[in-house]
Amino acid sequence: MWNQGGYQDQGQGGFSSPGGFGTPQGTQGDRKSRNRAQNVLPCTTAEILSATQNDDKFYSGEIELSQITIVGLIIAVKESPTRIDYEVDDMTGPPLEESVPEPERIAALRENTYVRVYGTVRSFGGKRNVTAFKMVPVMDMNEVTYHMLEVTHSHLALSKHAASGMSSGAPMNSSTMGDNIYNNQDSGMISGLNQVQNQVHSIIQSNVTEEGASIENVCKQLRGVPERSVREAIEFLSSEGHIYSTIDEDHYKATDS
Amino acid sequence: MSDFSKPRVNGKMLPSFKGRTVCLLGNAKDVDSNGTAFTLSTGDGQDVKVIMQEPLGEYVSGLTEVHGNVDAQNNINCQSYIAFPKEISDTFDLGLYNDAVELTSRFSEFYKVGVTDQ
Repeated sequence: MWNQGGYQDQGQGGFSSPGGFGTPQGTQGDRKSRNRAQNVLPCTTAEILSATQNDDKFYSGEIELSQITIVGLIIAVKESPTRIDYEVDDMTGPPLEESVPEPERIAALRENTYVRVYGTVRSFGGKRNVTAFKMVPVMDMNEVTYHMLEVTHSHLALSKHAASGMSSGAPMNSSTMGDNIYNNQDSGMISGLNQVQNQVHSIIQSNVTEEGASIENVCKQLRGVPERSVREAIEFLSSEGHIYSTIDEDHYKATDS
Repeated sequence: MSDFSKPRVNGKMLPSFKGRTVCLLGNAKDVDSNGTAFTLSTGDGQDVKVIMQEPLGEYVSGLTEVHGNVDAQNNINCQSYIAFPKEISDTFDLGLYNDAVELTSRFSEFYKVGVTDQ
């Protein structure tokens, strides 16, 4: 009876997740199994208001807008018993309505102050708004600068990832784009590792046996690389937490496989 | 042309925004004796004249944000403004903000400004 949820784990049910470091799955979310976008996207109000709608999903081009964060100026505040409605203007379009539910413990924020909002895009009666789950006053105006850069960067990275698929793809105009700091597991490239370390990690990662890849095995696959370099790479990867030893000090598995 | 946006610009960009509403962030100085105008220094080293509709009720200095219309002489007719307190003004990196303004202006496909349809 406990296993009806389909967890197939040690028989405890509850929140133990199937493998790796996946997010714990509550029973509700699993049932809906909607493949919800897992990210919080920094964006502009213009983007939210211009997004196309498909059922209850919103899209800005190829990117799904579900949870978003914006930084803008409070233009208007309206308090009601169950929630507080704000109109937030980030200069990119008309003010966007943001509702903060259950405001009992939180004092209303003031007009003409900058805030950072985290929330979900919704549509009600044809009008688009954001249900905010967190609103924080901006204490340092550099956050405005930061948000502008983060919006640009995230959209650029997302569009590049979508366009080029698995491989590192064609370099964009800027020099830093080659580094792929979003740690794509599909391309296997992790920034901060040199070539040998990346190759060693890749081989260990692709090993699906229980005892993992043996050093001997890795050396065989990396013909041109001396055994000492392989051992050094393994030492580094292990200390960084990318791999761990299994049955003995000669067998390793990757932490993110 | 009402797309309800007030694009963030700097002094050098003003000529391209004549007649439009913009958002200008900079350091305020030289308030005139009537309080009807002051100068805003933007991050690209430009000084912009800000013309008030009503005389200023307070003394503005330090980091200030102005929303207004660009006139034919590249001055701003101020519709609203925010005067930031000293603590915020002191920590703000105006040069970096200027870089962000130029970058978002250049990559407008990623930093979307202006709502075309609902």
